Amino acid sequence: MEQEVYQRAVELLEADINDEMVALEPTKGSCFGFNAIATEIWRKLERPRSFAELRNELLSEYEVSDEQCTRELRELIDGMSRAKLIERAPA
Amino acid sequence: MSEQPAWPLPRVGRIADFLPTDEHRALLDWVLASEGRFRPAKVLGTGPKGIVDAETRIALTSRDFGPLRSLLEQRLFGALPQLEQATGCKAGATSLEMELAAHGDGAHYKPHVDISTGEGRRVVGAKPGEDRVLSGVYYLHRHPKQFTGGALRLFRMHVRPSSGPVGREDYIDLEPVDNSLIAFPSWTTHEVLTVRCPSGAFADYRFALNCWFCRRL
Repeated sequence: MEQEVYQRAVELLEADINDEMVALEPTKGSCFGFNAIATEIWRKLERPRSFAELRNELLSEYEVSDEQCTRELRELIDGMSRAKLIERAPA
Repeated sequence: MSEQPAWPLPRVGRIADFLPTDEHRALLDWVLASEGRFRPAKVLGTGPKGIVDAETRIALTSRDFGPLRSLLEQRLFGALPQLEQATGCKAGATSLEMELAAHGDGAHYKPHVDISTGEGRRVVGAKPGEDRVLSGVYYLHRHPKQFTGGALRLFRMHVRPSSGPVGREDYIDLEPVDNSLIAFPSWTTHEVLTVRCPSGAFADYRFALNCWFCRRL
């Protein structure tokens, strides 16, 4: 599961608001607000990355436990997947 | 990430005294000499060429910049890094679309965005396949100023004025200051408030150079 690779599923029109981001998905006309962590994940997914890769990078950047990081990253990835912003990359 | 945060107001790029005095004068002279080149403004419709819809927009527009086109493109592209920084919108623009707009008495533009959205949306950029990313408005007029109104109203992200009333905290108004350039993300909902120009003379209108930095999405 940690080796699952994710990639962007849509092209967004983005505007940074401090360290957060607001974006429009033009095909659906849907607006999205990204907090700082979601913005960072979205930026990292400019190229496909595995869940483990994302988690390890966050662990090296933030003072957070492995367990909390894994749980919150999973929630974030699931949320972005449900919103069809990202998707599993073909194996 | 969420779909319903407290949506922010857009960040706006503003450059005062954008053009050197002689270039500002040359553009104003060109506009004042070009009344016959202006036509009723169109808005995005279902067809490829847009439609005249006075309920939505009243203005005159022209895309003829005569000998000033390349100079203006150069100036606007030169300002792009500053505008991207100010707006937080990394346009990555590969081309520029420009239009002159003249707003006389009663002119306005109801709330809208500068791109087409939704299923079956039609990209409307400067070149085929490109779309608008960052919008700019450069204002100019004669002195003394002979019109009132015409402010640019930018709405909080995701606020849709067509869906109901909006509060004073949901928008910002920017006055059309002569020789100033304003930029904002093209998907920001915005409006041109009604202009009052009692003389009705073209030379007294509120003029603007509307531009859109474009790229392929």
